[in-house]
Parts: sequence; structure tokens; C-alpha cells
Amino acid sequence: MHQTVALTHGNLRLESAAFVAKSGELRLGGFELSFRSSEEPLVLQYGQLTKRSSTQQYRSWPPEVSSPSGAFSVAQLRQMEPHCIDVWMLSALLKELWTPSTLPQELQSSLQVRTNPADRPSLSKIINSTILHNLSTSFHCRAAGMVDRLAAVSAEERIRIIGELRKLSHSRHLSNSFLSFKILPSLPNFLETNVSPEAVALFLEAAASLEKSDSPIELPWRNIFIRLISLLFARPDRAVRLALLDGLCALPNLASRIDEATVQETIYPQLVAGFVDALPQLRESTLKASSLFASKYSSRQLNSELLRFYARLQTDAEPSIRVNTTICLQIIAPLLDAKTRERILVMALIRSLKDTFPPARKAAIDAISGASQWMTEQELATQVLPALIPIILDPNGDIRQQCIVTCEVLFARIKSYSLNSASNSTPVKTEENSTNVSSPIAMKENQDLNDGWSFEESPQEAPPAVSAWSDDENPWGNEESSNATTPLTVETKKGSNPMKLGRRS
Amino acid sequence: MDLLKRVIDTVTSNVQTLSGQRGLVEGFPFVYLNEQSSFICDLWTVRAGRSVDSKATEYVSIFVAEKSPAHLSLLRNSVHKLKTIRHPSILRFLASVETEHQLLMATEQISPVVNFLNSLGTDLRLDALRWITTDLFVQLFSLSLFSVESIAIFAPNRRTDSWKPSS
Repeated sequence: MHQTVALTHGNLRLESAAFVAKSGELRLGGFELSFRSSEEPLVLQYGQLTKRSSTQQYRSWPPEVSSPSGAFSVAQLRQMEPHCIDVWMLSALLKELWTPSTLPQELQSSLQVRTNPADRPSLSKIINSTILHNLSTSFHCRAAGMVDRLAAVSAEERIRIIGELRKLSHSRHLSNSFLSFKILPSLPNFLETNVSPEAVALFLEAAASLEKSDSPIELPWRNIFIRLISLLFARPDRAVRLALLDGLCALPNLASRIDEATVQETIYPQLVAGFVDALPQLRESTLKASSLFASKYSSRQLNSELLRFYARLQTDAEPSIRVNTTICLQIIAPLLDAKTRERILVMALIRSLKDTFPPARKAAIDAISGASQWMTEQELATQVLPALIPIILDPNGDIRQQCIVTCEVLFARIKSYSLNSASNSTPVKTEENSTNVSSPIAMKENQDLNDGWSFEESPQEAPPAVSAWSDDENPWGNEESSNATTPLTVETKKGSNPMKLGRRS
Repeated sequence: MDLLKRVIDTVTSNVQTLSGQRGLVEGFPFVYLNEQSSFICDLWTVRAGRSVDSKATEYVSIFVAEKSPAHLSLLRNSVHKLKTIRHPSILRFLASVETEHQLLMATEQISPVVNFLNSLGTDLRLDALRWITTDLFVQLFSLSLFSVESIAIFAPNRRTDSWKPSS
């Protein structure tokens, strides 16, 4: 500014000239007193700017301007170098901006500005490249430089830069406003042409920061976000899909931004392909992500199709997937149709109780505790408690303890119901009048029959994408079966393309 | 009489704001967003605003100042400089207009540096402070005075933009 346009700013005060854009980048304003050597030095009117003529305010200006006795004439000011006033004011501004304890040592000595304007060196002499280099190693400085370079570098370099930015973002070295308004706008074009898992992760983190920042979320960004999420779900690349699913699971608020129509028509058909993928990680991430959108699926997607995939994953060879299936089932339980929930929930959780993997049994007990509100006293007495009792002798101490507590709570509820019904002379549903269970033998038969969840198909519904368990399937006898029989693609409705399985990078 | 005119001005601008169709005044296609985000900057009151164009949803800052004779030359000087000097680190000027009693100027959306720094945690604040200080130095003197190496670390494309006084 001093060199090229020979302009003296004349009002470099923190509250007057230094602003930040939405991204946090500095913006210089406050040019009220600025002048060139050919113009009238308006800086002499500095008193007009401050409504309160405090001495403190006037100290911002150098003595050649503010001193009552030693102020320069107009001619003298015009002859001065453009930097003289600004160097003085910048020094005061920086001392105000930095506290004495945080001001870098090398900068501190440079900010001792001389009273005589002729003795004041230009900024280039005060701020040598070492000081500037030290300052510019800040994370924000480096990141800003990287973002500015993105558009001009090769594809390989771009991927490397995105990786660097992702590291800075992930380690929380960048402010939300920087992520939202500096990094996020630079990503859409990149994601549409040359996507990488790191770019996806960075995009999701930046999009999430938009919600945290003070500025209101701008509608165009919501639309861009939804369009890009849809685009990314359609990418036939496992690594990208994994980054997308894991990012959405880590930042669950993002899923709430996506509208129902997009979830049902665009995301769901692509998402479910991951349930039958050969890669266990992808199946697990798909499972977790599927619960994020649970409130936005259509009734048929949630109550029929999704539950079929869950039923399949409940016998997955990967123990962690079986555990997470139980957890996800508990999450979506409140959203299921009452009829579906009544038919599925108890049977599915009882099946998990028999899992050979201890955390799966623990998750099942947790889920029973959490979902018992949707179970009738008859179900608790005739199905759930009989399944829980053997777990009281589980080899795992924690599970035994948890099971005892759960059994006591459930038993107390049944007891209360029973006593209450007796006092009101209300007939308690017993084995004789219950349609579900008619005798101990019948109960055993019924339970075996429902070990696989049963689904009612309406005649107009399309055939299921993945076959439900057959009634005679024994979930505990063929645990390795699911991967061996996993197809490479799964047909989804509406003629969408099946997910092609690329090599994971 | 003067007071009456001001009241009419205020009422008119409020009606136009509520309608969402017209700008605050003719030839100034921006309206205020709300009162809460305003701050004082010397002679100006800076308020959050937006364009009346339904397609342009970007938010702006609207600088509003009373046209007192003592301040008019300073206000006009500020608008003129922002209008004619374009640089990535200079406040981006969008539009300005003078009414009988006020001078209005729309710029990109900004907030005071102090507010921004105070919104950050200690570590981020210090890091952002280094960034802002660097930008301040870079803005105030010619880049050509620096060696290419020292600039390349923090100031790639954007910083190579030269100052461009427009005609």
C-alpha cells in the first residue's frame, strides 16, 4: 500500500480498521483519514472520528499529528513518507492486539518506534523476513496458503494438500469459521471431479463446522451439501464410501440436514448396497450409518427392507457387526410400526442373547432394558425372562450382574402387573388364553419358529432384495455363512445402479 | 421539521425492509437482517444485511452514518478509497448511496477482529492472532520487498495480487 499506491492509511486502530471476513481472514477498512501525497492530509481531522476525545484515543496517532504544540503543517505531512504515520499506529495496534506475555520477543523489539517521523524505518526494514516467517508458521496461515494454492496445482499435489488440511482440521487447529468459509467453498469442485477419502472427511468436518459457527447456515450451502452427499454415495469406491459413512457417524448432526426425499430416493438405495459388501468394515459402517437416517426412511424401507438387512447382519461372521446390529435395532425400535415392533423386537433380542460373543449378549441385555417399554407383560413373562434366566449363569461376571439387575426390574414389573390385575379382577393373560403361547411345549416351538424374524409381505411389494431368514435356519449353527454367500452387488429398487466394488485404496 | 423527515426516513426504510422486495433506498439493493448484530465503528454503525435479490443469498455488512457537515468529507473519502482500491485483503466494497440524511455503504460481511478472537479458545486465538498479524504486515507494504522464499510459505496466489487503483 505504501509502496505501490503511496497511500497513508492514517487510521490504523483496532476498532476502526481491522475487521475479519466470515472466514476469519483480515480485512482492512476505515479509510476515512487516508490520503496520498497529492491529496489533503485528512489525518489532521482525526479528532472528528472519536466521539469521546479521550487522551487514550489520541495516543494512537503519532505526535506529528496529535501533539497540540508539535503537529506538522499540511505541507510537512505531504512531504512525509507514506509509512511514517502508519508504522507508529501499527505499533500501537499490535501492542493492543497482543498481550505483553504473548507478544513474540522478536516482534516486541521491532515495535519500538521513534518519535521523529524521519527516523522511522519502513515496515520492510522493521519486519524482517525471519519475523514474518515465524509468524506465518501458524496453522491458519499455512492452511490459508494451501487453500489458495488448491486451484492451481496438479491433481496429485491437490490430494496431498487436502490430506494436510484434513490433518490440521482433524487436530482442531483451525477455527470453525475458517473451516466453514475458507475451506468448505474450495471443496465442491474438487469433490465432483477428483474425490479422495481425505477430501470427503475434510468436507464433512467443514460442513459440520458451518453449523457450529455463529453465522446462520446459508441455504445455498445446505443445497450444495445435499447434492454432494448424494454424489458421494453414488461413487463406486469403497474407500470413499467408508470415509463418507464414518464421517457421517462421527458427525451425526449432518444427517439431520438431509431431507426425507433425498434419503429415500437417493441415499437409501445406495446405502443398502453396503449391507452385503464383502468388506466387513463397510458392512459395519453401513449398519451404523443406517440408523442415522432412520427417521427419514419410508415406512416400507424401515419396517420391511431395512429389517431384512439387520436380520442378515445379526448372524454376520464379524462379532462386532452382530453387536452393532443389536444396538442399531434398539435405536430404530421407537420408529418402527407398532405391529412390526411387536412382531420383531422380542425375537430379535432373544436371538442376540444366545450370541457366543459376550459383548453381543451384553448389548442384547442393554437393548432389552431400553426397549422393555414396548414389550407387554406377557412377552416379558413368557419369552424375555425365560431367555434371560440362563444368562444369570453366564461365564462373564459383568454380564451375569447386568442380567440379574435386568431380571429383577422386569420381574418387578410383571409382579406389579399381576398384583394389580388380581386386585382389579382383570383376567391376566395366561397360557390358557394367550394366543402367543399355549403351553410350555408350544412356547418352545413358537420360539424356534421365530428365531428368524418373520416379515409380512404385502402383495404389491417388490420381492425383497435379500432373502429373509428361512424359518428353519439356525442362526447359531452357521456363523461363517454370511460372508461366503455375500453377493458382490445387490439390486436395489427404482433401477438404481448396484454399487460396484472397486479396490480399496 | 428535520426530526419529522428523519422519522419518515426511518419508517420508509422499515417498510421496505419488511417487504423484502426493495432495498433500503432506491439504488441500494440491500436490506437489514436484524439489530442484534450491529456494532459501532467510529462514525459508522455497521449492521448485518442481505441483498434483496432472492438469488443472491450472501450476507453483507451495511455501514450507516449520519451526514453531519463535519464528517461528510471523511465519510466520502472512506467510501471513495474502498471503491477504488481493490485487493483481497481490503474490505470488499459492494455499493453505496447517499440519502438526504445518511450515507450507506454495503460491503462483504465482516465483524470486528476482537470479536472474532474472543470467540476462539486460547490456542486457536494465539494461532489466529499470528495469522492476522502476518496479514496486516503483508497488506501494508509491497510484497516485492520480500524474498520469494519468505512469501511462498504463507502467501501463494492470493498475495501476489497487486494493488489495483481502478480508474
